[in-house]
Amino acid sequence: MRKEYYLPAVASLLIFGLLFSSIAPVGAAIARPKALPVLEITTIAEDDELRKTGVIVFGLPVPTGWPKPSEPGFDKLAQYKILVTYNGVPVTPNLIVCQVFEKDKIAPGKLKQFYEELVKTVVIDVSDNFFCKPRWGKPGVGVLDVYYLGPQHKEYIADNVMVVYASLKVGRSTIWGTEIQDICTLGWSMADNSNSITKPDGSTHWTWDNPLGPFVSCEEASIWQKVYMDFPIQGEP
Amino acid sequence: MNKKYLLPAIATVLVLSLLLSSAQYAFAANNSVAIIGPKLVVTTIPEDDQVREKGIIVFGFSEPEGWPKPYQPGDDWISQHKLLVTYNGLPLFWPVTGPAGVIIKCNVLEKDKTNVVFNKMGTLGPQFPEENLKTHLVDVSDFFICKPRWKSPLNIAGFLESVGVLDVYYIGPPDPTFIADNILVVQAFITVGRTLVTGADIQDICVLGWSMASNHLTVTLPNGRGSYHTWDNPLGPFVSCEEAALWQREYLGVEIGTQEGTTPVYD
Repeated sequence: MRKEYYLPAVASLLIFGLLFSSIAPVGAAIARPKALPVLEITTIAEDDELRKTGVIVFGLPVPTGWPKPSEPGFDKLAQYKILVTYNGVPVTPNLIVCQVFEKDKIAPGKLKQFYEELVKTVVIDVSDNFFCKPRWGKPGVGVLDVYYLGPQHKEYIADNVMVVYASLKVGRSTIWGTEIQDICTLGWSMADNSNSITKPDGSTHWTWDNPLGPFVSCEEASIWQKVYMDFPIQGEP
Repeated sequence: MNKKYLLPAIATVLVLSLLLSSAQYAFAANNSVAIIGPKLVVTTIPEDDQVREKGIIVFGFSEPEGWPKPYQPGDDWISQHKLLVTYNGLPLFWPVTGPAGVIIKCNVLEKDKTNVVFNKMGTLGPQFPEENLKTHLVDVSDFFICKPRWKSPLNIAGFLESVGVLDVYYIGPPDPTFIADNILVVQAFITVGRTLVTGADIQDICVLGWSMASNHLTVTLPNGRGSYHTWDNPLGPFVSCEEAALWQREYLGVEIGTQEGTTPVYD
């Protein structure tokens, strides 16, 4: 090689080295797990602040022989307070989505792994039966009204998992946040007494002091109500 | 092309691509991409009702006729919360005489139930029949003053630490329409260099007309400065402030208000 090409060739090599060193971190960033910005969602269940759960009451007829308290009325609205923050600043998300999963106990068939697996929990998506509406009072601060729109049938008496997703578009990025909550769907209220309030349109809003009554768990209360409604624990298909 | 231009041309292309690759970082760092920014972590613990996890204000109204639940006399205009503010995992310290340390701001929103009705033309209404009841939020921050009471680190006079309590006072009118479940949002701010770093936490304040506890205790304050009322369980048999407030409002004659729906009605 001619001597006058040495310098440009070495310079080109060095520049290629610089180029590679600036591209290498990008390649590494793609291949590695990384912490992305998130929305932080905090929700507070309001219907039962002792058991930290929202409560829906179908108002089904109380079966004969029911050994616990019962009160008339129905309520198809579960309520939650909600705060959404991004880097500590309250922000109103572009989108709120709720998913609801019903938790049912079933008896496994021959496929149980060990003797103690007498019952197992199955999770069924019942999101179509619920409609959640955020009501914002200030940026990122508001309430979440969750309505039950499904059939008021004994098979839907259950402890439910609600997952609240929120997303916000920031420039070219979309950031997400998720929170888990409880919704208890009961056949009837087990409070000490009830109060029916007439709304301006003539319809009635029912309210109780303690819809879950003596039960400390929605899971157990719903099993009791289902058994007394002739809907016992089902066998695995 | 003249051969003598070949090398400078290649060098120019290489230098330009080098410039472009370094500029990408600057583009990525601008505001068009979401980033994980510094923030304050605000933690609050309500003290008035630690079972239902909420602060409580009691107006001290007389017992209405026919009230079917427990009643106890006395009023209480202070809702109390423990407070911790951390930055990068640690509480903050600042001198009393220097620039302000952690600034605390409170927002309070009253939650009211409203009846969603059709508008006069019948063209707008609730989205579905179940939505004839919805929650309406009203900003009542002007009726509350919140005061952080910071502790001194190791009791060293002249310094404060971002650990303490938050006294939230109700200074609004004792009116039955303000009996409600309220959202309290506590925001904390500090300035680091030219950057404002913030954090927020959500809390509950339950405003009641009267206490529904089993019994009460009156504590006389020193020097004739009045008395302080305390109860074992102001919400009594209720598991929810929302429901308790609805009952008390109903017995005081406060009706559920109306609000026109916003969803178009199709035939």
